Amino acid sequence: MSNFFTNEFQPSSSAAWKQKIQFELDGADYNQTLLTKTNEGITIKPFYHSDSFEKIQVPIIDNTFKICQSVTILNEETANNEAVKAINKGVNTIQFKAAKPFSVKTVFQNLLHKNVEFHFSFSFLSETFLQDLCKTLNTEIVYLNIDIIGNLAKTGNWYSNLTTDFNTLENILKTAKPNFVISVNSEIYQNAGANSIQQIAYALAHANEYLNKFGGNIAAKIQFKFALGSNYFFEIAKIRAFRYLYQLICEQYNTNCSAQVFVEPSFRNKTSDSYNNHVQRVSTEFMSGIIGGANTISNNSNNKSCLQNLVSLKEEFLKNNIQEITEGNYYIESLTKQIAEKALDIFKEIEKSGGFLHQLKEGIIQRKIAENAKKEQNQFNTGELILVGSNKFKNNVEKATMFKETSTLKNYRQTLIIPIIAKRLAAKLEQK
Amino acid sequence: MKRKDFSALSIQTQNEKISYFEHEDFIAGTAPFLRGIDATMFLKKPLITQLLVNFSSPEKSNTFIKEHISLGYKAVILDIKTFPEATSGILIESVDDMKLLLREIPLKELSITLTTKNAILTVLSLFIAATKQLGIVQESLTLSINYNYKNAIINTEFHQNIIESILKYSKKHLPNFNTISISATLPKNKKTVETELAYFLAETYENITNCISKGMTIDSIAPKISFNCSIEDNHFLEISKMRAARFLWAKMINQFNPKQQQSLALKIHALQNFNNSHKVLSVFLGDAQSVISNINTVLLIENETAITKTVDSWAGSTFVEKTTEEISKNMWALFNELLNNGGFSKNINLTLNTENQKEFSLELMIEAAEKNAAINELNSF
Repeated sequence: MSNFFTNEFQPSSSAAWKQKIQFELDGADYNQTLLTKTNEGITIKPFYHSDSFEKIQVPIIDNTFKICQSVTILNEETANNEAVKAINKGVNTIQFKAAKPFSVKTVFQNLLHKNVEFHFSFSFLSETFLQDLCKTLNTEIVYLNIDIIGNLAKTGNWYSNLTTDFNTLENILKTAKPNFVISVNSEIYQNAGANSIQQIAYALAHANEYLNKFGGNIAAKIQFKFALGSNYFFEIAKIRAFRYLYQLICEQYNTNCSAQVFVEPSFRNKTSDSYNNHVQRVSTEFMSGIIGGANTISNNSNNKSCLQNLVSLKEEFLKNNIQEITEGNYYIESLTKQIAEKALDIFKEIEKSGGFLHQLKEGIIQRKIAENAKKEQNQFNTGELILVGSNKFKNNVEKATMFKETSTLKNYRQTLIIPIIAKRLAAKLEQK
Repeated sequence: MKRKDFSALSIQTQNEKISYFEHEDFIAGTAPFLRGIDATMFLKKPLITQLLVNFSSPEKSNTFIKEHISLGYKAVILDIKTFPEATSGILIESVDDMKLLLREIPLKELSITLTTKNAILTVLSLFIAATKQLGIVQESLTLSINYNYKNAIINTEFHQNIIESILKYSKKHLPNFNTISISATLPKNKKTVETELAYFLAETYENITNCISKGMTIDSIAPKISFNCSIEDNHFLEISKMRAARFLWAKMINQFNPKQQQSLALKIHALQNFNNSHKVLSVFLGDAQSVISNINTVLLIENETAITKTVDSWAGSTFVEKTTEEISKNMWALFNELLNNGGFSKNINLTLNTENQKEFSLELMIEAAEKNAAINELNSF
């Protein structure tokens, strides 16, 4: 079977491909017609070919990703029920969200020793509560996800103050058993309108504040949380580029560490109308997460169809070799390289100017995100960026109220820094 | 701790691939079309969303079509049954029923595909007779036919020479005739990715050979045939399968020495009705031509995910390229095995061969349909 493919047909170069396209364009401009320029400053080419192959060596991944359902604790009994139901449907991870301490015993009744991982997302910081929680869960895999810097970015204030917050975190790092104590919540940046390169650069600079404070030993105790939007291949490349860069930075601390990545669908591109559109949008975001090599893919809505899709994707993709899927792919390898290159530049700039906390205090990060968010909002307003059923193809959708929240903007007390607010692109249009 | 200095940090770019496959440097829009039948694919030609219509009542189906055209559908599949006992489809027992179905539908602006579990030539003759009576200019019809071997079986005595009949008729009367889209007929319990392709090729090969023996040229046959592909759950396997299908089609057609490149380009249609974006994504990323789906799901993928901005996005992937190669080689071996064992009809174990194939004249069937012949009469015409 030698030359099974090329006996009768000739291989070709990208130059030949481009020439063929130009011939068919019949005078129309190649660049204007076929190149897609993104807000990241990356140009999507109409085709990719092995003769312009480029890649960076992304850390290898295995096929053991987890799927997660997010449960908000308003009432302990109800939260427990929701978690049990989700586990019965096939998730192997639960993320509990809470705004205040709760009865650990009630929430975790029937949930222990089931080979389920637990993630937390708390908008409060209480050392005694966290120590208690860790005690109850000492035989479980736990991700505490404390992010004092993320909290500052999101709310504009420390939980208490800089010193107390860092001391609390330090105490927990010293005494608590969980492998993953810290979280770097990069979803804040995505949901406020940062582009994928900014999200990665900020996640790295954000993490580097913890590394700088506590040293390279804690590199493996950090979990990264990203929100995934619908730009399918960019979101895949985003996770890969991030994993590459985190390893690169960890090497500077003489530690070899593979990033732990938790992803969930973005809030920013969701619309209040159409159940079907919501489910399909989220489904492509789950797929980007799985293919990109995230460790945990989470369903952050109560939508049953979304959860069902996530469970089906798990069944399907656990059989595949995910490493081999992205490896060598001309398009993704090229995107990964470009995103990593540009994100590293931003990271270096931030570090040079004194670090992430410094830039947050100065309002520089906020301004940069606002610039991109404004650009995106304009693109949405003018129809250049489309959300189906919202700013285009409106007559096709059934009415629903998927998202009532317009943003995470609350009446914050006076803030220390400008908070980074999550905002849906379609929010204003829906109020009209 | 003193802040670290990262200013010297840089990424290490490599240009070597870990894996490289013989077929990787084919380009789209050029034979063998493994990476797509057009050089720019969806950047220039959007994926077609087909509306499946199969309410039993012709009137209800008619209303359904009108409602959906306003949402942006430009392609309609009419699933038709000619006997009330048949399981699904729009019940059309006469030209008058067909006229009810098509009444006030802007056929000129639509692409119509006819599909049936019964005799396809009967359905086609009813359709053409009805459009004539409705005064529709035949030249303006963009028509396709879904074809499955069972559509040809009239009774155990004979089957119809469908592909030959349709191609001959359309050449004369329907200049905008699109394609005969063939679904693979498989022996029971033999459905895998490979068998689907092998049987599709073997079946088509037999039909092409028959048409050529009747004096037609390969270039008048091949561009009018397309593949109704079955899309299953395994996303990357399905993407690889569509790439392999295009290559193997080119390899098979090449044996007939076509003069036109387009004869070597295989159009692919996803025939199941999908709502879930997961499978619609498979169709897009396999660079197929059409899908049956909720139009919103297709619009969402097209407008929000940016996956249509580059051709054959998964090229180079070790998994996809390896799978494309495996499917191609295994399938080609199986296809040749089928040919060596007597060809498609013999292997499918149907007692049909050219001896009991009756020559049908579509012209006569249409004439009879216009005169309101009964379905049974039409079937045996």
